Amino acid sequence: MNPESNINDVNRRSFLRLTACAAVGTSSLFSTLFNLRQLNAAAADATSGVDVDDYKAIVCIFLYGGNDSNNLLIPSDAATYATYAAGREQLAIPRTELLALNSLNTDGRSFGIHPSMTGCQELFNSGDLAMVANVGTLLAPATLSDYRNRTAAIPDHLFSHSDQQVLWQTSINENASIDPSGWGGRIADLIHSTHNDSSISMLVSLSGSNFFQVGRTLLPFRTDANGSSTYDILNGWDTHATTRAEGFRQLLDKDYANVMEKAFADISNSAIKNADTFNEAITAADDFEMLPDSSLGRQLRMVAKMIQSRQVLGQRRQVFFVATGGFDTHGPQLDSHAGLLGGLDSAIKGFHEALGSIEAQDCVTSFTASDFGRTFDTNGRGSDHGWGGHHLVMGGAVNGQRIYGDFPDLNFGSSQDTGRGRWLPTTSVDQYGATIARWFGIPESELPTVFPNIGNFAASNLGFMS
Amino acid sequence: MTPKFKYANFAIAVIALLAGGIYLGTLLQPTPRPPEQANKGPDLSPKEVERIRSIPKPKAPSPPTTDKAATTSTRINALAQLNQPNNDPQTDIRIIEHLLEQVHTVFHELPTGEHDEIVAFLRGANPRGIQYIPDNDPNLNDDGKVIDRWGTPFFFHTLSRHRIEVRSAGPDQLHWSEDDVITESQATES
Repeated sequence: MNPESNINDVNRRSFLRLTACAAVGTSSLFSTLFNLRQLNAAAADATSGVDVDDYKAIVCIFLYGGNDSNNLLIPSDAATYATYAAGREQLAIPRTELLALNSLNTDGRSFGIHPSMTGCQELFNSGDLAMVANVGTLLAPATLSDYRNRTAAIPDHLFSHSDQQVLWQTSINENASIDPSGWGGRIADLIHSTHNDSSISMLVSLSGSNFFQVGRTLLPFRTDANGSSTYDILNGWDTHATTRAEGFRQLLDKDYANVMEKAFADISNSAIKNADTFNEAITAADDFEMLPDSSLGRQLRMVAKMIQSRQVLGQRRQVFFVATGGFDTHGPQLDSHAGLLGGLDSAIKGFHEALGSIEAQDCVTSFTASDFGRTFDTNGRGSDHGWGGHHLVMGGAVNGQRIYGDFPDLNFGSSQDTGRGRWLPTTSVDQYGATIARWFGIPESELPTVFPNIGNFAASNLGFMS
Repeated sequence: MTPKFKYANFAIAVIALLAGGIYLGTLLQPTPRPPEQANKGPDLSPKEVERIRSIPKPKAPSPPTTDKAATTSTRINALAQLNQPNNDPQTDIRIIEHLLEQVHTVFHELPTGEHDEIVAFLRGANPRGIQYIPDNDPNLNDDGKVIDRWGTPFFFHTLSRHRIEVRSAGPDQLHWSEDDVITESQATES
């Protein structure tokens, strides 16, 4: 008898090895099963059809690294610009280069947008884009005293990349240890069963795993800019690949007595078939060549294809997640940041045009999010981790051409300066998200389910959605 | 001799033998010493023993305080080997990273924020009052910042509450330039 085959002879080392192998094996198996179930669901009701007029989608564009929005939205009146230029020193954008925003705000202030964002300037001035100033992670309205004394209004782990990414995406302090769900996921939990005819997840990530789309009951469907895939073994074009694929399909077609084997084969078979349906739906969609051939552009192109294919896929509500990185601009920043904002601009503009081409601009709202804003002062070359920042919201349903929220007092030592121009947010992520969620169909009574801290703030509607 | 005397002599002999055995046994048994004299070295006078006994014994450790204003601090000179001529700059980074690992072991997370906030934590502004860096540490400049061997404050890049990237500006004293010193694992990832 093999010693390791006798349970009484299993020593600690072999036990650990066996359990590790078992854990790895079952993890990958269940992971595969889970993904296949998602795909299976994707086309399960593909032929049911939906009312194309009752469709809404929100698209989260996450800017990983912490965008320096101090150079996104810039005051252009002479006095405030002088404060801006003095504070930013070598990071200042020349006033003459700012792209004017013809804001409908009546406070008498004037602003410009970064010179590389011509598309967003156009969208803003045409009323399809709004900006929300000084948004950040907060548990309740906070003052500088709250910050200094670290009262309950102040989130934990400020200025930390991953912690603030998680907080932005979940709006729950210390989320991971208590409730690993994001506010996009919680929105979907409430809406999915009443709005979608399909069992497919309405949460679609084009950028891998994220907290934003983790629901309490739903999980995101992950795909990429090239469409959905099932098994690598089914891919390939040479003779051997075809033979392998045929062999694999024959294995799945066998009649298995073991329940686990049968379930795996059944789910795999239907998922492969449905993935084909899913990919066919996407393939039938337009190419949306107005979108740039960048990572973000390709992600948004796939989003546009899925929106165009919504009827085939049986979706009336969808929450998308796309992302781009590189915004952690500690080093020489001016040129790199201009490139980053330019890339974001062309993707946003292209996406808006793509939605226009399928008459979906009014039913899709896109918004930016990021780890945090950055320091208003410079470290000599770039900027460091901040807190509150300015954000973009765009779509046909946006009350555009306006700047919402309170633009910070740019003087160092002001009531919003926690040091080095790390702005104390005056609008919370909860308020920002709740305004979008309300438009999406979340009733007022359910907002605390999605945003547990929303009750701490005077307004749950910032007014930028119609 | 009457039988009566025979028995009496026999009993006396037995008693004598027993008494002798007990006496010999007592002589061969080691004499126990008072506990306080075990391994004591030279003899101490009763007065000296009393003085030593009067020294307070160490108390059991108290439960950790969560009071951020805790005044009692534990001093640890964690940067004693930092910026030493016999070390290289990479070693300096590893010394600070090792310090941060120790902090994480104790607090299960790291302080987040900028240089001043993290150094304040390391200098004792933490829930346990542990002073990892003493106030007179030669690696602190006049502003209380921990400096590298070229005199520039280290940059603490807060990636998460569990990981801080430590960077030296290098010889050019400019952060985020080509000659920055970071550990190899971080250089590979960045």
